[in-house]
Amino acid sequence: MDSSRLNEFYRDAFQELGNIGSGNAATALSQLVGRTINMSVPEVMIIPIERVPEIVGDMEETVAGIYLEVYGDVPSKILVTFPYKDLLSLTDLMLNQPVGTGSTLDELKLSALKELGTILSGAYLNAMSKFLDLRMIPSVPALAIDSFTAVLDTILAELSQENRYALMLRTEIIETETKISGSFFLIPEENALETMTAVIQKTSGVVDIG
Amino acid sequence: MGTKILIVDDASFMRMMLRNVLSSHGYEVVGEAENGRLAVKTYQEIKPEIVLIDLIMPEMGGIEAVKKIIELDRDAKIIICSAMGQQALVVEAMQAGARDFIVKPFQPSSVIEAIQKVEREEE
Amino acid sequence: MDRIKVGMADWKLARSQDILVTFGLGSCVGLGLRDEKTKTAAMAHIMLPDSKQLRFRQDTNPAKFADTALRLMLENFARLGIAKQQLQAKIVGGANMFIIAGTIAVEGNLKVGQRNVMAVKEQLEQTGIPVVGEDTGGNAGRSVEFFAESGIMRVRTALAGERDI
Repeated sequence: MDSSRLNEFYRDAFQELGNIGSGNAATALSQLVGRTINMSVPEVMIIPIERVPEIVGDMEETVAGIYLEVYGDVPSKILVTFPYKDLLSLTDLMLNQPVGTGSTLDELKLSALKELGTILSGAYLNAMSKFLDLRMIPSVPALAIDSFTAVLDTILAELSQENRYALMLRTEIIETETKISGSFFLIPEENALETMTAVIQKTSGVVDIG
Repeated sequence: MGTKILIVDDASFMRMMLRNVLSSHGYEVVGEAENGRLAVKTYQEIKPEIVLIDLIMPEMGGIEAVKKIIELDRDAKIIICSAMGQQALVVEAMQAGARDFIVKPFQPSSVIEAIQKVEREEE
Repeated sequence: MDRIKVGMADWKLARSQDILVTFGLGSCVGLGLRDEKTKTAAMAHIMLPDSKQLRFRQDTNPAKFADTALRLMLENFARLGIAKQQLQAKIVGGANMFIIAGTIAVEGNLKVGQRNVMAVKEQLEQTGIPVVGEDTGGNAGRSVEFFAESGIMRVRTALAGERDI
Protein backbone atom coordinates (compact mmCIF):
# COMPACT_ATOMS: atom_id res chain seq x y z
CA MET A 1 0.00 0.00 0.00
CA ASP A 2 1.37 3.29 -1.09
CA SER A 3 0.28 6.63 0.32
CA SER A 4 -0.57 7.89 -3.15
CA ARG A 5 -3.19 5.17 -3.47
CA LEU A 6 -5.26 6.75 -0.73
CA ASN A 7 -6.80 9.44 -2.88
CA GLU A 8 -9.28 12.08 -1.81
CA PHE A 9 -12.21 9.74 -2.27
CA TYR A 10 -10.93 7.18 0.22
CA ARG A 11 -9.65 9.81 2.57
CA ASP A 12 -13.21 11.19 2.73
CA ALA A 13 -14.66 7.71 3.09
CA PHE A 14 -12.36 6.89 6.02
CA GLN A 15 -13.13 10.21 7.60
CA GLU A 16 -16.83 9.42 7.35
CA LEU A 17 -16.24 5.98 8.86
CA GLY A 18 -14.35 7.63 11.68
CA ASN A 19 -17.25 10.05 12.15
CA ILE A 20 -19.72 7.22 12.43
CA GLY A 21 -17.53 5.44 14.96
CA SER A 22 -16.69 8.45 17.08
CA GLY A 23 -20.29 9.67 17.17
CA ASN A 24 -21.31 6.43 18.79
CA ALA A 25 -18.25 6.44 21.06
CA ALA A 26 -19.10 9.96 22.26
CA THR A 27 -22.60 8.82 23.19
CA ALA A 28 -21.26 5.83 25.13
CA LEU A 29 -18.69 7.95 26.95
CA SER A 30 -21.31 10.57 27.83
CA GLN A 31 -23.41 7.86 29.45
CA LEU A 32 -20.41 6.53 31.32
CA VAL A 33 -19.25 9.83 32.82
CA GLY A 34 -22.57 11.66 32.93
CA ARG A 35 -21.21 14.65 31.03
CA THR A 36 -21.47 16.01 27.51
CA ILE A 37 -18.70 14.64 25.31
CA ASN A 38 -17.71 16.06 21.95
CA MET A 39 -15.56 14.26 19.47
CA SER A 40 -13.76 16.08 16.68
CA VAL A 41 -13.95 15.24 13.00
CA PRO A 42 -11.38 12.50 12.51
CA GLU A 43 -8.06 13.31 10.97
CA VAL A 44 -7.01 10.67 8.41
CA MET A 45 -3.29 10.10 7.95
CA ILE A 46 -1.41 7.56 5.91
CA ILE A 47 2.32 7.83 6.42
CA PRO A 48 5.39 5.61 6.64
CA ILE A 49 5.44 4.24 10.19
CA GLU A 50 8.77 5.82 11.15
CA ARG A 51 7.44 9.28 10.23
CA VAL A 52 4.42 9.02 12.53
CA PRO A 53 6.08 10.54 15.63
CA GLU A 54 7.01 13.66 13.61
CA ILE A 55 3.46 14.09 12.34
CA VAL A 56 1.57 13.21 15.51
CA GLY A 57 3.96 15.31 17.57
CA ASP A 58 6.93 14.30 19.67
CA MET A 59 4.94 14.72 22.82
CA GLU A 60 6.86 14.18 26.01
CA GLU A 61 3.62 14.61 27.93
CA THR A 62 2.79 11.79 30.35
CA VAL A 63 -0.43 10.03 29.46
CA ALA A 64 -2.50 6.98 30.19
CA GLY A 65 -2.50 4.90 27.02
CA ILE A 66 -5.14 2.22 26.67
CA TYR A 67 -4.35 -0.25 23.94
CA LEU A 68 -6.59 -2.84 22.29
CA GLU A 69 -6.19 -5.11 19.31
CA VAL A 70 -9.10 -5.61 16.94
CA TYR A 71 -9.67 -9.05 15.43
CA GLY A 72 -12.02 -10.18 12.68
CA ASP A 73 -12.32 -8.81 9.17
CA VAL A 74 -10.55 -5.54 9.94
CA PRO A 75 -7.46 -6.32 12.03
CA SER A 76 -6.47 -3.05 13.66
CA LYS A 77 -4.98 -1.47 16.72
CA ILE A 78 -6.72 1.04 18.95
CA LEU A 79 -4.99 3.52 21.21
CA VAL A 80 -6.88 5.83 23.56
CA THR A 81 -4.84 8.42 25.45
CA PHE A 82 -5.67 10.86 28.24
CA PRO A 83 -3.19 13.30 29.81
CA TYR A 84 -1.90 12.23 33.22
CA LYS A 85 -3.15 15.49 34.75
CA ASP A 86 -6.74 14.63 33.75
CA LEU A 87 -6.79 11.05 35.01
CA LEU A 88 -8.05 11.77 38.51
CA SER A 89 -10.88 14.01 37.26
CA LEU A 90 -11.78 11.41 34.68
CA THR A 91 -11.89 8.54 37.18
CA ASP A 92 -13.81 10.73 39.66
CA LEU A 93 -16.49 11.16 36.99
CA MET A 94 -16.56 7.44 36.24
CA LEU A 95 -16.82 6.54 39.92
CA ASN A 96 -19.57 9.09 40.38
CA GLN A 97 -17.55 11.18 42.83
CA PRO A 98 -17.26 14.97 42.83
CA VAL A 99 -14.34 16.01 40.59
CA GLY A 100 -11.24 16.72 42.68
CA THR A 101 -11.93 14.21 45.43
CA GLY A 102 -9.70 11.42 44.14
CA SER A 103 -6.07 11.67 45.22
CA THR A 104 -4.27 8.54 44.03
CA LEU A 105 -4.56 6.27 41.01
CA ASP A 106 -5.39 3.04 42.79
CA GLU A 107 -6.14 -0.33 41.25
CA LEU A 108 -9.86 0.46 40.95
CA LYS A 109 -9.13 3.62 38.97
CA LEU A 110 -6.69 1.85 36.66
CA SER A 111 -9.39 -0.74 36.08
CA ALA A 112 -11.87 2.07 35.33
CA LEU A 113 -9.47 3.50 32.74
CA LYS A 114 -9.14 0.15 31.01
CA GLU A 115 -12.91 -0.25 31.01
CA LEU A 116 -13.20 3.20 29.50
CA GLY A 117 -11.03 1.96 26.64
CA THR A 118 -13.21 -1.10 26.20
CA ILE A 119 -16.43 0.90 26.16
CA LEU A 120 -15.15 3.62 23.81
CA SER A 121 -13.69 1.06 21.41
CA GLY A 122 -16.76 -1.13 21.57
CA ALA A 123 -19.04 1.75 20.65
CA TYR A 124 -16.70 2.97 17.91
CA LEU A 125 -16.30 -0.48 16.36
CA ASN A 126 -19.98 -1.27 16.70
CA ALA A 127 -21.03 1.64 14.52
CA MET A 128 -18.25 1.05 12.05
CA SER A 129 -18.78 -2.68 11.68
CA LYS A 130 -22.54 -2.21 11.18
CA PHE A 131 -21.86 0.30 8.44
CA LEU A 132 -19.27 -1.88 6.69
CA ASP A 133 -21.02 -5.15 7.51
CA LEU A 134 -17.65 -6.51 8.68
CA ARG A 135 -16.70 -8.23 11.91
CA MET A 136 -14.55 -6.23 14.34
CA ILE A 137 -13.87 -7.76 17.75
CA PRO A 138 -11.78 -6.00 20.40
CA SER A 139 -9.30 -7.74 22.71
CA VAL A 140 -8.99 -7.15 26.44
CA PRO A 141 -7.45 -3.72 27.05
CA ALA A 142 -3.87 -3.11 28.17
CA LEU A 143 -2.76 0.02 29.99
CA ALA A 144 0.47 2.01 30.15
CA ILE A 145 1.09 5.24 32.02
CA ASP A 146 4.11 6.82 30.39
CA SER A 147 5.24 9.46 27.92
CA PHE A 148 3.00 9.68 24.86
CA THR A 149 5.99 9.12 22.57
CA ALA A 150 7.03 5.91 24.32
CA VAL A 151 3.47 4.55 24.23
CA LEU A 152 3.24 5.33 20.52
CA ASP A 153 6.75 3.94 19.92
CA THR A 154 5.68 0.54 21.26
CA ILE A 155 2.54 0.38 19.15
CA LEU A 156 4.35 1.49 16.01
CA ALA A 157 7.06 -1.15 16.56
CA GLU A 158 4.32 -3.75 16.87
CA LEU A 159 2.64 -2.46 13.72
CA SER A 160 5.88 -2.31 11.75
CA GLN A 161 6.32 -6.09 11.97
CA GLU A 162 3.79 -6.49 9.18
CA ASN A 163 3.28 -3.00 7.80
CA ARG A 164 5.32 -0.22 6.29
CA TYR A 165 2.62 2.43 6.32
CA ALA A 166 0.33 3.46 9.12
CA LEU A 167 -3.22 4.50 8.35
CA MET A 168 -4.41 6.40 11.36
CA LEU A 169 -7.84 7.79 12.15
CA ARG A 170 -7.37 10.24 14.97
CA THR A 171 -10.26 11.79 16.88
CA GLU A 172 -10.05 14.25 19.74
CA ILE A 173 -12.28 13.60 22.74
CA ILE A 174 -13.42 16.73 24.58
CA GLU A 175 -15.37 16.98 27.81
CA THR A 176 -16.44 20.62 28.01
CA GLU A 177 -17.22 21.15 31.68
CA THR A 178 -14.05 19.92 33.43
CA LYS A 179 -12.02 20.35 30.22
CA ILE A 180 -10.79 16.79 30.05
CA SER A 181 -9.43 15.94 26.63
CA GLY A 182 -8.11 12.76 25.09
CA SER A 183 -7.29 11.17 21.76
CA PHE A 184 -8.67 8.09 20.06
CA PHE A 185 -6.60 6.39 17.35
CA LEU A 186 -7.80 3.59 15.10
CA ILE A 187 -4.91 2.04 13.19
CA PRO A 188 -6.01 -0.62 10.68
CA GLU A 189 -3.40 -3.04 9.33
CA GLU A 190 -2.63 -2.79 5.63
CA ASN A 191 -4.71 -5.87 4.76
CA ALA A 192 -7.63 -4.38 6.70
CA LEU A 193 -7.26 -1.26 4.61
CA GLU A 194 -7.73 -3.36 1.49
CA THR A 195 -10.81 -5.06 2.93
CA MET A 196 -12.34 -1.71 3.84
CA THR A 197 -11.58 -0.06 0.50
CA ALA A 198 -13.18 -3.03 -1.27
CA VAL A 199 -16.39 -2.59 0.76
CA ILE A 200 -16.41 1.15 0.19
CA GLN A 201 -15.94 0.58 -3.55
CA LYS A 202 -18.79 -1.88 -3.66
CA THR A 203 -21.22 0.28 -1.70
CA SER A 204 -20.33 3.47 -3.54
CA GLY A 205 -20.22 1.87 -6.99
CA VAL A 206 -16.74 3.18 -7.68
CA VAL A 207 -14.90 1.01 -10.16
CA ASP A 208 -11.57 2.69 -10.61
CA ILE A 209 -9.65 2.97 -7.38
CA GLY A 210 -7.24 5.44 -9.05
CA MET B 1 -32.53 -12.69 51.37
CA GLY B 2 -32.36 -11.40 47.81
CA THR B 3 -31.55 -13.45 44.77
CA LYS B 4 -27.96 -14.75 44.88
CA ILE B 5 -25.84 -13.36 42.06
CA LEU B 6 -22.33 -14.10 40.77
CA ILE B 7 -20.56 -11.24 38.94
CA VAL B 8 -17.91 -12.11 36.35
CA ASP B 9 -15.84 -9.32 34.80
CA ASP B 10 -12.10 -8.78 34.43
CA ALA B 11 -12.46 -5.09 35.34
CA SER B 12 -12.71 -4.53 39.08
CA PHE B 13 -14.32 -1.18 38.24
CA MET B 14 -17.16 -2.94 36.41
CA ARG B 15 -17.60 -5.45 39.22
CA MET B 16 -17.93 -2.57 41.65
CA MET B 17 -20.51 -0.78 39.47
CA LEU B 18 -22.59 -3.94 39.20
CA ARG B 19 -22.23 -4.73 42.90
CA ASN B 20 -23.47 -1.25 43.80
CA VAL B 21 -26.46 -1.46 41.47
CA LEU B 22 -27.39 -4.93 42.68
CA SER B 23 -27.02 -4.42 46.39
CA SER B 24 -28.97 -1.15 46.27
CA HIS B 25 -31.84 -3.11 44.73
CA GLY B 26 -31.83 -5.84 47.37
CA TYR B 27 -29.88 -8.48 45.49
CA GLU B 28 -27.16 -10.46 47.18
CA VAL B 29 -23.79 -10.60 45.40
CA VAL B 30 -22.49 -13.98 46.58
CA GLY B 31 -19.33 -14.05 44.51
CA GLU B 32 -17.11 -12.32 42.00
CA ALA B 33 -14.77 -13.78 39.41
CA GLU B 34 -12.35 -12.05 37.06
CA ASN B 35 -12.26 -14.55 34.22
CA GLY B 36 -14.20 -17.44 32.74
CA ARG B 37 -12.14 -20.15 34.37
CA LEU B 38 -12.73 -18.74 37.86
CA ALA B 39 -16.39 -18.19 36.97
CA VAL B 40 -16.90 -21.91 36.29
CA LYS B 41 -15.06 -22.85 39.48
CA THR B 42 -16.99 -20.34 41.59
CA TYR B 43 -20.29 -21.40 40.03
CA GLN B 44 -19.70 -24.99 41.17
CA GLU B 45 -18.74 -23.87 44.64
CA ILE B 46 -21.49 -21.41 45.45
CA LYS B 47 -24.35 -22.28 43.07
CA PRO B 48 -25.61 -18.73 42.51
CA GLU B 49 -29.14 -18.19 41.21
CA ILE B 50 -28.03 -15.78 38.49
CA VAL B 51 -24.69 -15.12 36.76
CA LEU B 52 -23.79 -11.77 35.19
CA ILE B 53 -20.85 -12.33 32.86
CA ASP B 54 -18.62 -10.24 30.58
CA LEU B 55 -17.54 -11.74 27.24
CA ILE B 56 -14.01 -10.57 26.59
CA MET B 57 -11.78 -11.57 29.47
CA PRO B 58 -8.26 -12.96 29.79
CA GLU B 59 -7.62 -16.68 30.41
CA MET B 60 -11.13 -17.81 29.52
CA GLY B 61 -13.70 -15.62 27.80
CA GLY B 62 -17.42 -15.47 28.52
CA ILE B 63 -18.62 -17.75 25.73
CA GLU B 64 -16.53 -20.70 26.79
CA ALA B 65 -17.54 -20.09 30.42
CA VAL B 66 -21.24 -20.01 29.47
CA LYS B 67 -20.82 -23.35 27.65
CA LYS B 68 -19.03 -24.91 30.62
CA ILE B 69 -21.56 -23.63 33.16
CA ILE B 70 -24.48 -24.88 31.06
CA GLU B 71 -22.74 -28.27 30.86
CA LEU B 72 -22.66 -28.34 34.65
CA ASP B 73 -26.17 -27.03 35.11
CA ARG B 74 -28.62 -27.00 32.23
CA ASP B 75 -30.88 -24.56 34.10
CA ALA B 76 -28.17 -22.01 34.88
CA LYS B 77 -29.44 -18.47 34.48
CA ILE B 78 -26.76 -16.44 32.79
CA ILE B 79 -26.95 -12.83 31.64
CA ILE B 80 -24.27 -11.42 29.33
CA CYS B 81 -22.92 -8.00 30.26
CA SER B 82 -20.60 -6.75 27.55
CA ALA B 83 -19.52 -3.58 25.80
CA MET B 84 -21.26 -2.47 22.66
CA GLY B 85 -19.84 -3.85 19.44
CA GLN B 86 -19.79 -7.49 20.40
CA GLN B 87 -23.10 -8.59 18.87
CA ALA B 88 -21.60 -11.57 17.10
CA LEU B 89 -20.27 -12.80 20.43
CA VAL B 90 -23.53 -12.00 22.23
CA VAL B 91 -25.43 -14.09 19.68
CA GLU B 92 -23.00 -16.95 20.17
CA ALA B 93 -23.34 -16.73 23.95
CA MET B 94 -27.15 -16.72 23.70
CA GLN B 95 -26.98 -19.82 21.49
CA ALA B 96 -24.77 -21.41 24.11
CA GLY B 97 -27.53 -20.93 26.65
CA ALA B 98 -27.33 -17.40 28.08
CA ARG B 99 -30.80 -15.99 28.87
CA ASP B 100 -30.41 -12.28 28.21
CA PHE B 101 -27.84 -9.52 27.72
CA ILE B 102 -26.98 -6.03 28.95
CA VAL B 103 -24.87 -3.57 26.97
CA LYS B 104 -22.19 -1.45 28.70
CA PRO B 105 -22.34 1.41 29.48
CA PHE B 106 -25.65 0.56 31.12
CA GLN B 107 -28.30 2.38 33.09
CA PRO B 108 -28.88 0.69 36.47
CA SER B 109 -32.50 0.13 35.40
CA SER B 110 -31.48 -2.03 32.44
CA VAL B 111 -29.49 -4.32 34.74
CA ILE B 112 -32.45 -4.72 37.08
CA GLU B 113 -34.90 -5.24 34.21
CA ALA B 114 -32.77 -8.02 32.73
CA ILE B 115 -32.53 -9.76 36.10
CA GLN B 116 -36.25 -9.43 36.75
CA LYS B 117 -37.01 -10.83 33.32
CA VAL B 118 -34.82 -13.87 33.93
CA GLU B 119 -36.34 -14.31 37.40
CA ARG B 120 -39.85 -14.28 35.90
CA GLU B 121 -38.91 -16.97 33.38
CA GLU B 122 -38.32 -19.24 36.33
CA GLU B 123 -41.95 -19.10 37.49
CA MET C 1 27.79 21.93 20.66
CA ASP C 2 24.79 20.51 18.85
CA ARG C 3 21.84 18.48 20.05
CA ILE C 4 21.34 15.98 17.28
CA LYS C 5 17.93 14.37 17.17
CA VAL C 6 17.65 10.70 16.28
CA GLY C 7 14.13 9.87 15.05
CA MET C 8 12.39 6.52 15.04
CA ALA C 9 14.18 3.99 12.79
CA ASP C 10 16.90 6.59 12.34
CA TRP C 11 20.59 6.88 13.26
CA LYS C 12 23.03 9.78 13.61
CA LEU C 13 26.74 10.38 14.14
CA ALA C 14 28.21 12.96 16.53
CA ARG C 15 31.59 14.28 17.62
CA SER C 16 33.15 15.84 20.72
CA GLN C 17 30.72 18.37 22.18
CA ASP C 18 27.63 17.05 20.41
CA ILE C 19 24.76 15.30 22.18
CA LEU C 20 22.70 12.63 20.47
CA VAL C 21 19.08 12.69 21.61
CA THR C 22 16.21 10.26 21.12
CA PHE C 23 12.77 10.45 22.69
CA GLY C 24 10.26 7.91 23.80
CA LEU C 25 11.94 4.54 23.46
CA GLY C 26 9.15 2.12 24.34
CA SER C 27 9.82 -1.33 22.97
CA CYS C 28 12.37 0.21 20.60
CA VAL C 29 16.06 0.07 21.50
CA GLY C 30 18.58 2.89 21.51
CA LEU C 31 22.01 1.57 20.54
CA GLY C 32 24.94 3.87 21.26
CA LEU C 33 28.44 3.20 19.91
CA ARG C 34 31.46 5.28 20.81
CA ASP C 35 35.18 5.51 20.16
CA GLU C 36 36.98 6.86 23.22
CA LYS C 37 40.06 8.01 21.28
CA THR C 38 38.33 10.31 18.80
CA LYS C 39 35.25 11.02 20.96
CA THR C 40 33.08 9.97 18.07
CA ALA C 41 29.65 8.53 18.88
CA ALA C 42 26.65 7.21 17.01
CA MET C 43 23.17 6.27 18.10
CA ALA C 44 20.37 4.32 16.40
CA HIS C 45 16.67 4.08 17.36
CA ILE C 46 15.97 0.46 16.42
CA MET C 47 12.37 -0.77 15.98
CA LEU C 48 12.64 -4.46 15.15
CA PRO C 49 15.04 -7.35 15.78
CA ASP C 50 15.57 -8.76 12.32
CA SER C 51 15.32 -7.41 8.77
CA LYS C 52 15.02 -10.96 7.43
CA GLN C 53 11.85 -11.85 9.35
CA LEU C 54 9.42 -9.56 7.58
CA ARG C 55 6.37 -10.39 5.50
CA PHE C 56 7.21 -7.57 3.09
CA ARG C 57 10.68 -7.64 1.64
CA GLN C 58 11.06 -4.17 0.20
CA ASP C 59 11.94 -2.32 3.39
CA THR C 60 14.81 -0.03 2.53
CA ASN C 61 15.49 1.55 5.88
CA PRO C 62 18.45 -0.27 7.47
CA ALA C 63 18.31 1.80 10.68
CA LYS C 64 14.98 0.14 11.53
CA PHE C 65 16.43 -3.31 12.33
CA ALA C 66 19.03 -4.50 14.82
CA ASP C 67 21.10 -6.44 12.27
CA THR C 68 21.21 -3.85 9.50
CA ALA C 69 21.51 -0.83 11.81
CA LEU C 70 24.71 -2.11 13.39
CA ARG C 71 26.22 -2.95 9.99
CA LEU C 72 25.38 0.53 8.71
CA MET C 73 26.89 2.23 11.75
CA LEU C 74 30.09 0.17 11.52
CA GLU C 75 30.47 1.03 7.82
CA ASN C 76 30.26 4.71 8.67
CA PHE C 77 32.75 4.42 11.52
CA ALA C 78 35.10 2.58 9.14
CA ARG C 79 34.84 5.44 6.66
CA LEU C 80 36.10 7.74 9.40
CA GLY C 81 38.99 5.37 10.00
CA ILE C 82 37.52 3.95 13.19
CA ALA C 83 37.74 0.18 13.40
CA LYS C 84 35.09 -1.83 15.23
CA GLN C 85 37.75 -2.96 17.71
CA GLN C 86 37.86 0.62 19.01
CA LEU C 87 34.14 0.78 19.80
CA GLN C 88 32.16 0.31 22.97
CA ALA C 89 28.37 -0.02 23.14
CA LYS C 90 25.55 1.11 25.44
CA ILE C 91 22.00 -0.15 25.11
CA VAL C 92 18.78 1.44 26.34
CA GLY C 93 15.08 0.63 25.94
CA GLY C 94 13.20 -2.53 25.00
CA ALA C 95 10.53 -2.05 27.64
CA ASN C 96 7.37 -4.10 27.92
CA MET C 97 5.10 -1.09 28.37
CA PHE C 98 1.62 -2.44 28.78
CA ILE C 99 0.22 -3.84 32.02
CA ILE C 100 -2.25 -6.54 31.21
CA ALA C 101 -4.55 -8.13 33.74
CA GLY C 102 -4.39 -11.88 34.07
CA THR C 103 -1.77 -14.12 32.59
CA ILE C 104 -2.53 -13.90 28.90
CA ALA C 105 -1.37 -10.76 27.15
CA VAL C 106 -3.00 -9.16 24.15
CA GLU C 107 -2.42 -11.76 21.46
CA GLY C 108 0.18 -9.72 19.57
CA ASN C 109 1.79 -9.94 23.02
CA LEU C 110 3.99 -6.87 22.73
CA LYS C 111 7.17 -8.77 23.40
CA VAL C 112 9.02 -6.89 20.67
CA GLY C 113 10.95 -5.02 23.37
CA GLN C 114 12.57 -8.11 24.78
CA ARG C 115 13.32 -9.48 21.32
CA ASN C 116 14.90 -6.18 20.28
CA VAL C 117 17.28 -6.19 23.25
CA MET C 118 18.27 -9.81 22.61
CA ALA C 119 18.85 -9.15 18.91
CA VAL C 120 21.03 -6.08 19.52
CA LYS C 121 23.15 -7.95 22.07
CA GLU C 122 23.54 -10.88 19.75
CA GLN C 123 24.70 -8.63 16.92
CA LEU C 124 27.19 -6.90 19.22
CA GLU C 125 28.54 -10.19 20.48
CA GLN C 126 29.04 -11.50 16.95
CA THR C 127 30.91 -8.32 16.09
CA GLY C 128 32.97 -8.43 19.26
CA ILE C 129 31.89 -5.01 20.55
CA PRO C 130 31.66 -4.91 24.37
CA VAL C 131 28.52 -3.61 26.09
CA VAL C 132 29.73 -1.17 28.74
CA GLY C 133 26.35 0.18 29.84
CA GLU C 134 22.78 -0.99 29.76
CA ASP C 135 19.33 0.07 30.93
CA THR C 136 16.82 -2.24 29.28
CA GLY C 137 13.56 -4.07 29.89
CA GLY C 138 11.09 -3.15 32.62
CA ASN C 139 7.81 -1.36 32.00
CA ALA C 140 8.87 2.25 31.52
CA GLY C 141 9.56 4.20 28.36
CA ARG C 142 12.89 6.06 28.15
CA SER C 143 14.35 9.17 26.58
CA VAL C 144 18.08 9.31 26.03
CA GLU C 145 20.88 11.87 25.74
CA PHE C 146 24.21 10.41 24.62
CA PHE C 147 27.20 12.69 25.20
CA ALA C 148 29.92 12.09 22.61
CA GLU C 149 32.62 13.75 24.74
CA SER C 150 32.11 11.75 27.94
CA GLY C 151 30.29 8.70 26.63
CA ILE C 152 27.64 9.21 29.31
CA MET C 153 24.13 8.15 28.42
CA ARG C 154 21.51 10.05 30.41
CA VAL C 155 18.29 8.02 30.59
CA ARG C 156 15.02 9.70 31.58
CA THR C 157 11.69 8.05 32.39
CA ALA C 158 8.27 9.70 32.70
CA LEU C 159 7.61 8.75 36.31
CA ALA C 160 10.92 7.57 37.79
CA GLY C 161 13.39 10.37 37.10
CA GLU C 162 16.75 10.05 35.36
CA ARG C 163 20.01 8.13 35.69
CA ASP C 164 23.34 8.03 33.91
CA ILE C 165 24.83 4.86 32.50
